[in-house]
Amino acid sequence: MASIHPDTRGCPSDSEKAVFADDADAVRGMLEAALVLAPYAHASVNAIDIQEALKLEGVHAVLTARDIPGQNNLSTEFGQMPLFAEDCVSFHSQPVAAVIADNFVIAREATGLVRVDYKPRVPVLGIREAIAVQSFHGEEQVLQRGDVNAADEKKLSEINKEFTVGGQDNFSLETCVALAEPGQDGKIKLRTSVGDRGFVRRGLAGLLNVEKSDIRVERSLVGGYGDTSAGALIAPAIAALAAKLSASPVRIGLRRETGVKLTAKQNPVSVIIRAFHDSSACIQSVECAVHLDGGWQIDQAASVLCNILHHLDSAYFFPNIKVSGRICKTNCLSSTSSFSNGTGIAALIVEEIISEVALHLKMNPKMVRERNFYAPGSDRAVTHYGQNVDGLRLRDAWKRVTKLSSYEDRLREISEWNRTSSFAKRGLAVVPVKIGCGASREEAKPVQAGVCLFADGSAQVTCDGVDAGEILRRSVAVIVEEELGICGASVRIAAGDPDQGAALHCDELYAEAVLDACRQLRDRLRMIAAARLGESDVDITDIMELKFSEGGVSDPEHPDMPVSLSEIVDRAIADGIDVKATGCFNALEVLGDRNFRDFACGAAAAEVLIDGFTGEVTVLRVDIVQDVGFQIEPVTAKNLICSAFMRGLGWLTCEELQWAANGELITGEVDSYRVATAGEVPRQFNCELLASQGRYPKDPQAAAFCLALSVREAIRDGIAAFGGAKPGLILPLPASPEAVYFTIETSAP
Amino acid sequence: MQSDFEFFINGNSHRGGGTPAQWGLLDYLRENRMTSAKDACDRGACGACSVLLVDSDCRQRPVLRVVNACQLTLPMVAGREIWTAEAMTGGEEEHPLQKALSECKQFSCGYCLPGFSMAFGEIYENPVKTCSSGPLLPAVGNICRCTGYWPLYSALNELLRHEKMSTNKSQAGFLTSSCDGLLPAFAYRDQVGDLFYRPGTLTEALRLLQAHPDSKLVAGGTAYSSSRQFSPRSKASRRTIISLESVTELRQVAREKGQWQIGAAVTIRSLFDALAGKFPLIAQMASRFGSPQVRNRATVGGNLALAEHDSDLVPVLLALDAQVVISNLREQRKLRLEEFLGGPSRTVLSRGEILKTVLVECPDSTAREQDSGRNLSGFYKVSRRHHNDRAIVCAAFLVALNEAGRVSRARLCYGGVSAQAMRAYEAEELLTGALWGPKVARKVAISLRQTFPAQSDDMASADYRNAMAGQLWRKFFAEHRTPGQYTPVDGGLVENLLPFETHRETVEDG
Repeated sequence: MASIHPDTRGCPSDSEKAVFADDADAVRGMLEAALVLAPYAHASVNAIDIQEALKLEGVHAVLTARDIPGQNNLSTEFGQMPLFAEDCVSFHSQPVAAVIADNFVIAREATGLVRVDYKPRVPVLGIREAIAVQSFHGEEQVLQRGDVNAADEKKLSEINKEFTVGGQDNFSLETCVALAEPGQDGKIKLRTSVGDRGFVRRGLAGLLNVEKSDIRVERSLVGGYGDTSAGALIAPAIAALAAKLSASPVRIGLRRETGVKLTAKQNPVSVIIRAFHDSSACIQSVECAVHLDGGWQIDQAASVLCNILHHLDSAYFFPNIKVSGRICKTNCLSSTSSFSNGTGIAALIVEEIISEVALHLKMNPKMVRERNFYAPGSDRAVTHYGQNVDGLRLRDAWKRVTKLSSYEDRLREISEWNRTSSFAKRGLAVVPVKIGCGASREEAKPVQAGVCLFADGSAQVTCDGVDAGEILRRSVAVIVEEELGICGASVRIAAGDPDQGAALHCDELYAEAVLDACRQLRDRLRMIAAARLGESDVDITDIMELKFSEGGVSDPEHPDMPVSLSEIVDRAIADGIDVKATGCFNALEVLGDRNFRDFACGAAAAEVLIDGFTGEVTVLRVDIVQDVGFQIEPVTAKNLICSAFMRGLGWLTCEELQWAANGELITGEVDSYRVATAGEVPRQFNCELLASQGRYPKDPQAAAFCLALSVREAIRDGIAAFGGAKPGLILPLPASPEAVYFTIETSAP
Repeated sequence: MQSDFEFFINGNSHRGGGTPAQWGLLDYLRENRMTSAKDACDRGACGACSVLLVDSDCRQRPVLRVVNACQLTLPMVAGREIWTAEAMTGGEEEHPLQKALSECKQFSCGYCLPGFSMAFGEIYENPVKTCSSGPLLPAVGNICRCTGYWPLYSALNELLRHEKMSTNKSQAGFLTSSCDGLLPAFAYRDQVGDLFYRPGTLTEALRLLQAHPDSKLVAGGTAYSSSRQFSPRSKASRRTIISLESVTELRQVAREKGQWQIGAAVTIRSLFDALAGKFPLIAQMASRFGSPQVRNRATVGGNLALAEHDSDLVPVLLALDAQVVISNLREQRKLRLEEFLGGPSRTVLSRGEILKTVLVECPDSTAREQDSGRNLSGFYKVSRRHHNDRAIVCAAFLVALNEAGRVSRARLCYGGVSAQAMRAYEAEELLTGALWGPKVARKVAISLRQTFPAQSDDMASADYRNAMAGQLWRKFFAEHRTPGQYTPVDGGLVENLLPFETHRETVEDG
């Protein structure tokens, strides 16, 4: 008995009940490990003396880079990362050694006895320092259309802004844990909190100098959203290495404050904007230079930067646009894609431009947004990377959310209320977003999924994807139900080959592959179904129109006379027809010359209350309308939207990564890195989906994350209501009480 | 002295003999395959290790309280009863709450959910509310990265609403308890000689304190637990813990001779239950104090003895002119709370002494009802999150006006601003005798901004803290000058936040 309902999570098959890695039964004779972490962000390592530590009773071994049988490298698809700092420490708290002892308390005590001779060097901390010394990963990336300098001559108003967007930690509640057991055959059995099993095997094989197949990773539940940055591999790598060398089972459970210092973050970004608009609020040109703190090692920074640059239009058409980005090489943690893979940052930047135009022209920002929308079917329908946005349902979402939120009435009511209230003000804002959906060119890879039918009318789906938060399982179950009429409860999901598994957040790809397999099966079963219906004297109108629903197949004209699916499957098996199908999906093929398969969009209206005495913000109401494409259950979609929205809200209002001057992360605990609690949930939360369209599901989460920007814009509106919001107003991030208070104080007359 | 003890988990008897006295309840649960309680932060901040503890309320009646398992050591639960989330899934019949949570189609990895079912379980399982839970929001001590909370609260809301309508079924009592929640005196010695004492009387506690001068006094253990595990152990000395949880006289709130006597081992939750109706300041403070789990364990005496600079409780008790009674084996002494607080994180408690009771004058009910004289009070707290967070600045204000509308008594007490909680004497002096109005209020606000040597840290800057010292006062004045004018939407900034009523059955106090 491990988690509260293990059988519905992590999609285990019936025989394979998964639990969280740390909830599995303890292993006899298990040793525990603790890490020696470098106290500098940048230093040379001259010598490591482990003798004192080894003398402590209960200590079995102290491992350093020298003990690694293979290469001192954890490899991921994004590059390589040393497990232990060898000659050089590249970020604060980088592991230098690991102590293996009878238990964690002894191991931890012994870490204090490992003497490391460091020669500190000057670190590069932060984007500004990196630019000053020209320290970069890779080349500058540029996307461009039109001429951003031509605007100068046309007497347009110019906007200039410079600001920094803060980072975010994935911060899943489950801590980094790994337990490795050496097998007699030289193989290693691993249980770990890192969800992607193929990722673990690929990352560790070279380090341990073994074949991937020699590392057996048990299926575990994944807490939170998993982590596919190289830092996540540290715990399993140490456990596996120690188990291999000591021939004993070894567990490593990183305490939260330690784990947080090792894993990648969605790192900060600095932004310089120059834009031109005319007097009717049409934005004619946008020039935006982005610097992303890429940390000490490139990790996923290139993918994040690429996604930021592709979303620097958000929902708006800018005739002339030039966006450029560079990745700074610093002595900080590396960068991961986090929840929105950069789209949140991009949307935030674009909304800064919009609000600035509104302040310049003293217009309602809502009108500025409407002026600049993409207009599918017109000459304002092509993105800066040349993809047409036809089919974008932005106007639908916009109209719907304006109505759902009674925007006009509340705008009036609020401005009336604000007039009589001097110390508290309410703010209202409505914000759109457009997100490229489906894996982009960079992430797209061909995937497979198998669907097998059984004579009892149930189905099993074999799928390599990693499920975080059940999204994959749910969407797969819904697709099987839609296509084959098998109710969700009768759909089991089994693990595929872990080596084939794509990274997290590729649910859509697998949904496509499952869809393909289901359609193949439907085609095969149609003939049998028709024959069986014929036996029951049902006239078949059109064999292609047969309806698969509620565990049976029927003619649309005679829905009351179905044949049960189990009977059809039974007959098919008897006739030698294969009831297993493998579906494929190759996103690259589907993409063609497009960058994204499609676009998702949505809009949200948010209302906040600002306490002028303290700067505290309460979110009073949020209304969201989103296009989720081929619609899975509305409740499911709404819960997904709520979940992503709250993570966006956390990023914008209470989560804050802070570093000490020496580069050490100081907000690593649950009480210092403040994830939103139920106390931050909007008092009213309404959500609507646009009517289902198309055959693709669109992940609603990235858009919902970005739509938390409506709260940020509502805060801006509320601050303006205190008077004197002047152009150039920079709203700090996160919008903590202090930040809001001082913004009001400095901007009010 | 015992070398073994019994306690109950999910109705089964367990034995603690052979375990280290410093061992945590969470460690025990996880090693014994009750892994629904997760070890996510180990400092009482996330609620993932929540369990239900059968405790006694302020009138010594048994009651279920949600607590963080990481904040209890095993000997603390000797003779007591614990329920974990396994009790909701293990039986033949699924617990209705569990069913509601798993059927609400939330998207969650499932890691934090057992903690939520425990936190909601406190609301659901207590058959009769001993007091209205009022502004105490449930489960704000539980962190979740996946669900966005809304689906979980909606599920609870639905369940409570549904059960309110159906009359024919028993609503609660799924976790049947045989325990009265009272604690027998107890002493345990583990195999390496570490000691845990839980004496039944104050005298006994004082004797133990004398016999073990290096011992550590604990009550709820919320502060102790996070320092417990990795303190390096010097091999020569034994570690001795003396818990005050069984000392009945320290667990009571009683009225005597015009004073409320609050036992030092009374939890913040019990303080709320007993006195929220009498002292609005206490009600307001308790609703913002820590998380439900922490409120259920942290005690009045523990909070005062730690004398942390950002205590929510200290400013309130300062404003109420609280006195404290300190005992040693020979005598008792009575001090004003200001005198008791000796400086940053320091008190005047000396060796061999125990903080026994806190005394607060009963509010003069007759004076309050007369139109002529008025008592104005308010507690304010600014933090980075509305709940489950430490105060950047908190303040308790109490202003008594006489018939002529002049200030007869003023208490302006602050926590969080500087290295210790303190009264703003200068501001109080400005106010006393002055005609209550904007003129003096403004003068006071200016004075308050400069009163404190404010500190900067990762939560806020010194500038902000200094500003808040004045701003919270201005807010208090604005709210009380023309009641109802300022107070925006729904009567408060953070309350009434959730889309449901937490009370199922409200039994009037008394």
